[in-house]
Amino acid sequence: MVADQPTPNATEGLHVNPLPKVERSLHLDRAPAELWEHLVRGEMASVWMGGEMTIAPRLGGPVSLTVGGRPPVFGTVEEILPGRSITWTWRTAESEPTQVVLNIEADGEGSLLKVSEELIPYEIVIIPPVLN
Amino acid sequence: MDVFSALSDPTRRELIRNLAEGPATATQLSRQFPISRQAITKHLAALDEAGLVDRNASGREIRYSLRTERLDEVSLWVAEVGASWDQRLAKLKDQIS
Repeated sequence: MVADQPTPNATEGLHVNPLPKVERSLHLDRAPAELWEHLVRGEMASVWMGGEMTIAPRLGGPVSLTVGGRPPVFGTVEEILPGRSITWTWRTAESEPTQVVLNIEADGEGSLLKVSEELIPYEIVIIPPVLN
Repeated sequence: MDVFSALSDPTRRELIRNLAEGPATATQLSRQFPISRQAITKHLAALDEAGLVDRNASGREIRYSLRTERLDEVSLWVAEVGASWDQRLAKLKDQIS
């Protein structure tokens, strides 16, 4: 390692604010397995997400949400623990990408749903077209 | 560079925290960071490009000050996204009860 080069951890030890993040949690009177279906089945998620939600609940599966009159949001499932948690990243054509995490824990006879959405750092990579 | 890309770097976020305490030059700022003055200047240029700082000549150096009105975009994002989730979770609660 070259001593003069700042390493990615150069600011370690300093207090660093994360990117903006929204977090919510909610107790629901449904067992985790039942609640899970409401989160990952597009037709059920469409009701509470307030628009047409499609979701393929598998790693790399596509996610989209179209709320009337607004630009559609498209993304990809990044992590999934069936019945427990799902993480996806998404963005509109214009907006910054964000990461959404939905997490379910047993809470008494029901479930505790934790939701977070945060802005994520990104780079724009232009891949040149392959010419045959 | 947009505000969010500018804020995606931890050093730049820390620079903003420092500037929130008052205007400073790159030299003054570099005393507080474990990186070179040159690296600080580069990060300040990125903040300038995002419209997050103002530059004013101060003797031979440039004094940077924070443009807090641009940071309000972040508060705005948090408010909007938070409101969306509040609405969705309220609907979910209705849906399953």
